[in-house]
Formats: sequence, C-alpha cells, structure tokens
Amino acid sequence: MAGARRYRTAYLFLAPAVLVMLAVVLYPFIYNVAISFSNMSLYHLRDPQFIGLAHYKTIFLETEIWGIFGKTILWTAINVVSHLTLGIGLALLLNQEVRGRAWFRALLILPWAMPQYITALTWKGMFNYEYGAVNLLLKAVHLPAVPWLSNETWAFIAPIIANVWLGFPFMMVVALGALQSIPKEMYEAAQLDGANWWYQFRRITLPMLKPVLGPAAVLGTIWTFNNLNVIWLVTNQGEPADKTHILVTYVYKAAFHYYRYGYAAAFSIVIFLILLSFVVYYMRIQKEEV
Amino acid sequence: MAGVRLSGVTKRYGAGITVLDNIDLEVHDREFMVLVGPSGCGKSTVLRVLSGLEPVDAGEIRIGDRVVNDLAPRDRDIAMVFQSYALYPHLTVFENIAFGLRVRKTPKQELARLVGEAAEVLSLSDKLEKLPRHLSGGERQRVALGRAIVRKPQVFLFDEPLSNLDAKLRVQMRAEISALHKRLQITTIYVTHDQVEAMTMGERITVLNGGHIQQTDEPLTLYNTPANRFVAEFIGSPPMNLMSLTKKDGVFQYAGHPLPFTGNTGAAEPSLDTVLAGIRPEHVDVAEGGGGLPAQVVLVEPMGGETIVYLALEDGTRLVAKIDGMRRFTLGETLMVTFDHQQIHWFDPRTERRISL
Repeated sequence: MAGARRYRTAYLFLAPAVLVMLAVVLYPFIYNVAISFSNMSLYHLRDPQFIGLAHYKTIFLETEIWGIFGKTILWTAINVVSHLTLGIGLALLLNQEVRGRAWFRALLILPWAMPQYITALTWKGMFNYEYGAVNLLLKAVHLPAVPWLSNETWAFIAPIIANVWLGFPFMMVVALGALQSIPKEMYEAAQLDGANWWYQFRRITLPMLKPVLGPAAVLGTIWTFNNLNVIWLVTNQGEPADKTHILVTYVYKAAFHYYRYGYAAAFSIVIFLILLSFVVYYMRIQKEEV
Repeated sequence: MAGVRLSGVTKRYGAGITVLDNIDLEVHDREFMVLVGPSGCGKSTVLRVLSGLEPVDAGEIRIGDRVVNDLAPRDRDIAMVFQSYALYPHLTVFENIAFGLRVRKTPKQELARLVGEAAEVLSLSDKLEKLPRHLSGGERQRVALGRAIVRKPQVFLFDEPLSNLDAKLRVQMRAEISALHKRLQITTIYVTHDQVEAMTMGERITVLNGGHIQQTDEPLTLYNTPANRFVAEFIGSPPMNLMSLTKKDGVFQYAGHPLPFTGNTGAAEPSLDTVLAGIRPEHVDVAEGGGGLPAQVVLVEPMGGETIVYLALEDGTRLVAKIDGMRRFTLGETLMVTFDHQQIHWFDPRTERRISL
C-alpha cells in the first residue's frame, strides 16, 4: 500500500496511456479470440453461436491456404532481402565522402516519407498496361509490354517492386546509422593488416551491422508479412481472380468483403501465432549468441 | 629490421592548414623513438603518413632502403597500435590477434603457433577465447599489442596507446612495452603527449610543436640542454621556471636584484638587453632568511618524498620549487629564494633559442 501511495502520481500519469492501450489493443484482441470460436458472420451478426475449433479446422483443411501461405513467405523473403541488400548498399555509398551527400540522403528517404497508400496507388497507375509509365518505358527501349496487373505472376511481382521501393529507405537509414558508429580505426587497422575492401566488408562491416540490422530485419519481416496496403491497392484487392493474396489480404477480404467474421478472426489468430513463433525463435537465437 | 627516415615531409589538410612542415627525422634500426608534443602538434600525423593511411604533400619517406611514398599501407610492413586499440568487438582475442595473419592466408598450424607465441609473450594464453568486452583495459591493450607483434613487422607505430588506462596500469604497461621492445628489437615510433612516458620509454625523443621538430635527443640531453624555450617548458614536471632579466650596470638583473652567476657580465651577448633565465624547480631553493629574492608561498603540494612549493615574487611572477619532502611550509609565509647558479638555462627572448652567457 505504501508503494501504491508513493507512486500515485506516476500511476496517474500512466493511466491515460494504459486505458487507451486496454481499449485499442487488449480488448480487440480478446474480442477477436472470442469470436474466432463463433460462427459470427453477416447472417449471425447478432446471434453468434459457439462452434469451437471449427474455423481453425477449416483453415488447415483448405488446400488453397497453403498456396497463400507459401506466397506470403515468398513475398516476405523477397521484400526483406531486397530491403536489406539495397539498404546496406546505398548506406555504404552514402557513407563515402561524396559531394552532395546530404541531398542524396534526403532524396533516398523520400519514398519512405510519402504516405504508403499514395505510393501504392501511384505504382498501380504506373503498372497500367496501356498508359502506365513502366510499359511506356519498356516500349521506348523496344521491349514488349508486360501485363503487370492481369497476369498472375506479374501481378505478384508488381506489388513486390512497389514494396521494395517503399521499404529500402528504412533499412538504409538504420544501416547508415550503424555504419557511422563503426570507428574509423578498425578499418585503418585492417588496412595495415592488408585487408582489401571485400575482406573488410565481410569481416568488419557486416558483423558490426548485425546487432542493429538484426532487430530491424525482424521488424521488417513482421511489417512485410502483415503488409495489407501494397498488395491490396496495387493488385486491386488480390486480382486477378484472388490469385495475388498474401495471408493478411486474404483475411481482410474474408472479413470485410465476405463478412466471415468468425473465420477471419480465427485466421488472424493463426497469423499472430506464426509471427509470435518467429519472434520467439529470433529472440532465442539472440540469447544464444550473447 | 629497418630504420625509418623522413626527409622534407610536408602534410597539409585542406587549403591552409599545414600539419607537418618540412619534417626531417631519422629513426635508427631497432631504436625506440618517442614523438612528444602538445595536442595538434602533428605527432599522430607523422604516424599516419608513415603508415600510408594519409599521403604526404611533399618529401620522402624511407623504411629501410625502400622509398615507400607510393606503397599501400599493407605493403609497408608496419604494425600500428591505436589509442582506441581498434579491437574487433565481435571477434575473440584469438581472432583479433590472428586477423592480419588470416588476411595474409597464413597456414592454419603456423597461424595457431604464431598467435600462441604472441599470447604467451603478453600473458594472454588463458584469454584467447574471450571477447574484447570481457577483458580489462590492460588486457585489451595487450591484445592490441598482440595484433601488432604477431606479424613481426619491420616497424611498430604506437599512437598514444596508454591514454585510456588508469594511472597505475599506465605505469605497468609502460614497463611492459619497454620490455617488449628490448625483447623483440623492432624499430619503434611511439607517440605520446605525456612527457613522463617520453622520458621513461624513449631511447631518443623528438619534441614537436606546430608541425615543426623542436629537438631530437636522448632524454637526459633534452632535459639538461633544451634547444629552445618550448622544449625547456614542455619537458620536465613541474615545468621549468622562466624569468625575464634586464641588463643594468653591465649585468642581467631581476627587478633590481643582480643574479650572481658565472658569466653574468653581459659581455657574451652584447646585443641583448634582456634574456630569459630558465631554472628547473629542483634547482630553486628557499630559506627563511639570508640573501635571495623574497617570495610568498601561494600553494604547497606535498608529494611525500618531495614537496612542490608555488611561490609569488614581489612583482607577481610565479616560481615553482621542488623541495625535500621533510620540510614544512605555511601558506602566505615569505621566504628567500635562491638558485643553483650552475644550472641556469639562457634563452634569447626574441628567437626563444638557447644561448650561452
């Protein structure tokens, strides 16, 4: 009790944030878990019934889900690897003493500074078969036009391009910060030892970027795995014929187009568990390394 | 093994900043040379141009009989110990020491043997699997040394390697580095701003200031016959006292007190009306009475074996005296100051160079 009295002012300051967190995070989460065991849908909006694990069973039995899951993994892997590679590469360039470095840095951060949905819709316009900038450019260099949004494969590649564009600046900024914190003497000592650029990059730069880029890559993985906007907007809600879905866009469509609330809630829990196990796995690896 | 020679070396940064101005320096084969000077005097730059980390704007650098101006750092066969140690935090002590050997693709067994030997010399054998962050300051310093000695280079460069250590460890590592040099007999250039380090470690010392070499000599020669006012004040702790004397009635006097010393007739430097007299603190003595200059005690620093007494002469000029530790002083008391007249150094106040009277 003495403690409670002592920290009363602190609790008072914390209270608004705690209340908001309870209202917008904890309550929806518990509500989501609850309806995942119910048959809530447009038909049973007011009278949902408990149906146990029925939705979970459906999810694991639907053959199409595994394809979407595979596509989500592919989407996440390609994006995160591209973000990291491009981010580190550009950070290495920006870390050099080049004229106009501040300008380049500002320009390269720009894609990140734009609201995501504006960029996604802009890319959608640029991927238009007849009038889009991308095909016009291809035509200008005498290459055939690409059915970006009507072919299943291309319609998956198109949002990947848009999302790589959106995501590399974050990794670049993180990598640049980490690069700038590596003391110059480490490279000088390596130079005196005879290490060339590639050797220094492999044995000094990369290992020293790891503590910073590791958590950034985990965040990037979670964000990309759960990235609804880009696929939804660029492919026009999973077109053609719902072939370009990743798990979150599929769930979103189930919930808000087909009104299968219980099913979508169960699916969200599955997605949550997938990401949770990924984070737990990462944290365990981290702990072992320390 | 090889000596090092810098001839007319000049280094500028940007348009107007000359860090090294026409430096000539010779370091003999197997010698332990200390470069000492205040911050910004150019001493670290000497190491950087010598190692090839920075190009020179003019002059020639020789290691042994090779001109190395155009050689990359890796081809100069030099090892350097940095002030920050520059250890790789993600690599074990073994891998840190082995870094240069791995770059040079040393066979595995040979590599293990060389690292083992270096670790043995530096008492690091039981630390080889540890990461730098699990080591004490002194141990990290030794790993940095290990990385330098394992390649058996022609020249060692040390850039203020002891600055990050506490006072006690610094004294210990000072002795260890000196012993290592005696054992390995590798030409060493050691940069420091600490003149005690310079005096205790160097076989010869080069004093630098403002990008110019002030004097290169053995430690005691430097102490006993400083070439100019800068060296006189920089070498020695507490620093040398300097008093301005004016010629009156044919002899140099301080505020009307003729200082009696051999040769004080003014004849030797007839053109000079004033001179600077430099007196080391240990050549100043104080007495409660008798002849001398009256001075007031303003600060007393008892060190045990000796006591440093700060005095103010009548016109406010400060003097420092190093007195036997047994004597007691009271703040504010007036004492009579005398000097050992055989031990006075003379400087021309215009050129600040050493002169003899």
